[in-house]
Amino acid sequence: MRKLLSIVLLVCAAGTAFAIYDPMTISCDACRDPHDHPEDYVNHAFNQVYGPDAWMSFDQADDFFIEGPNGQRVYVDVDFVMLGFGVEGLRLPFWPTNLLQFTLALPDGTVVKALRSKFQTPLPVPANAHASPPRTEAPRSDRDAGDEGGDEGEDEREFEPVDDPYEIPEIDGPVGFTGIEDPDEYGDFSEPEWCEEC
Amino acid sequence: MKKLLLAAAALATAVALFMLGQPGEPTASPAPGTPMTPAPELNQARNVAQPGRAGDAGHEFDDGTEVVLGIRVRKDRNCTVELRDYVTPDGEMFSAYSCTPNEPGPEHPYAHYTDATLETMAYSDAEAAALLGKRLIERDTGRSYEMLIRATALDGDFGHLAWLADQAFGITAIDGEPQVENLKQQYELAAIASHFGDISGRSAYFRDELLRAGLSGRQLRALDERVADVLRSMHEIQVTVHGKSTIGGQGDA
Repeated sequence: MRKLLSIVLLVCAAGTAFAIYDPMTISCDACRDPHDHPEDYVNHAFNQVYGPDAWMSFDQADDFFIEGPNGQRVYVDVDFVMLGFGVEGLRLPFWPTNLLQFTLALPDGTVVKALRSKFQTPLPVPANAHASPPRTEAPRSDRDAGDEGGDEGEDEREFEPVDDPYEIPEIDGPVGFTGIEDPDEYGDFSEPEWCEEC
Repeated sequence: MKKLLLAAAALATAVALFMLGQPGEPTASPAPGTPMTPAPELNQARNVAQPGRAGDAGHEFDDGTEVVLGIRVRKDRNCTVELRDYVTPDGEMFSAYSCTPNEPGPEHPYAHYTDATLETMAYSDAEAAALLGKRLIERDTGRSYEMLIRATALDGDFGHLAWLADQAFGITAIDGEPQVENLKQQYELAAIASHFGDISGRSAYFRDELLRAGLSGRQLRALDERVADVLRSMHEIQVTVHGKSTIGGQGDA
């Protein structure tokens, strides 16, 4: 009997707590479709907490909703990322990574996790980067060694010497030549011999 | 007794359902793709609060926050908190907060320079390299990477690398599936940043994530070699421009 009563009370308490719990909703007029550009929502969420435009308290920023201009509602959960140690699944945080993990629940149910560090703010909205740029677009000088070149997924890459775009090009030798001709006793120079065929 | 218990259970369920139907904030999310309009009949002035205005701020707290429009916000904010009401085409109404900056942020002193000008300046100017890198990140990610690496080499600010990591490789998992390529890039950039004074454990964190994602030790060593290669190129940049290098704390000229 007591168990039954406890269950009833538990259900009641859970329902009450769920009803009281009500994360706030903020609007983002510059955000685009969350399914195509989830990074817009990450950047917008980050700017509410860090940087010159920050206004939300850390309690408010724990989790909230962002309403896009088309009425697409994205749930955002924000967590600090800590470096931890432990064994058998028990991990104890001990060192901050200065990273924030944003977990987005998109309208279609997709869950996206993204990281942002606290070093530079504000972040652009709309975000001006690809969410996942292909690695084939690696930088020319530092990263042109070809990615995933190894067999069976091995990450074996060869690196070419760094090509500094500002390096002065080496010149193998003179292409033409110039000479100095002295004038005659009257100060005149001899007529140049033009190559007609040339 | 059983009837009493059933009645109690029904009462509890009814209370829970009643409270679930009384949220204070948005009750409906409109269908995707349906543009919303602000509710014209609502008094917008009632829903605006600026810092320091009498009557707007409610209770103030010791942690630097105050209650504005029913929520706790930071007192040192530089924006105006608003609570806007929206109406969907279906006639449903909901409210959403926003904080509009009071004044636009300062423009970058190089903002009006062309890319070509910035590229020329980027030889020795870290600000120019950083700005160009941020401009190019969508058009040419590789060139953007070069510029931000150069900016870091020139002024030693690993924030450029953090920005690049966030904006280009920030998504680390989709539906629980780790985005290994992005994690690799994040690890490389964090490892480079650790040579410029970043004492956070980001590189260790990403190393753990990569191991958890199934990367082998050999693959991680390949990434470390890649990091060493980028560091060598940054060393060359420092020596060429400044005459000395600070990478690794060595003042080798």
